[in-house]
Amino acid sequence: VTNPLVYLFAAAAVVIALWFALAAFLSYVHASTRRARADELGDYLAVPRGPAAAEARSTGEARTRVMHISIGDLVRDPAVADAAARGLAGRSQPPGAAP
Amino acid sequence: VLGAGDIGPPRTDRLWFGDWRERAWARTRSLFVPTVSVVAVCDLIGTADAESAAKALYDWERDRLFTLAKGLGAAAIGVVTTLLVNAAEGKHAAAPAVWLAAAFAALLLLWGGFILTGLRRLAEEYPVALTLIRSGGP
Repeated sequence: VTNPLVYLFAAAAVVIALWFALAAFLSYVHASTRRARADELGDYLAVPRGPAAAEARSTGEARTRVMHISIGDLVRDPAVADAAARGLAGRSQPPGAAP
Repeated sequence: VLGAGDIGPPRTDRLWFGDWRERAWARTRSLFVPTVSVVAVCDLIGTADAESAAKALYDWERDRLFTLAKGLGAAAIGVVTTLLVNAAEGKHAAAPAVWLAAAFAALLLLWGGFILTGLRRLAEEYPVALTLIRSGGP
């Protein structure tokens, strides 16, 4: 008598292994392209977002472009961290102030 | 206060096809490591009790991944138990299938362990989130 669960688990092992490989590939792609979005992140953070922007916030293309950059990316990539710092520094300055 | 790209409907091609790798990565990453977006943290700047809200983001990430890790451990135990019962009852299965099923249990444990070790990142990232909030305030 054969237990079909063994074959189910065997198939799941193959699927999980392929999924791990895909995750590793996507991780590599993200790590190699996140720096290209650093300037976009800085530009996004430089603009204060008030309550009036709430509606646009959910659909804004600028937000969509940078929303997948995580705090972990700031920790691991100094270029991204610098861009975020520049953006926030620009936000806190009043209009017309010297940089 | 809005940028030129903030207003109007998003470009459908970019949302659904152009950024498919980023979207797939974001979905996949959320099942392996704690992830809090820079945009989400910076949207808290200027809000009441922003630091508590940021802590809630990290608490949710910790609880979500910890629950997943526990479930993966339980699933691995179920797989191993099934293999042991199968062997004790003398049921026959092709040797490669048995080895792959054993590897499945190992992969589940590896996944759960990866999550638990990755939760350490929360401790490293939380001070960075607080720094972002404080540096962007008035």
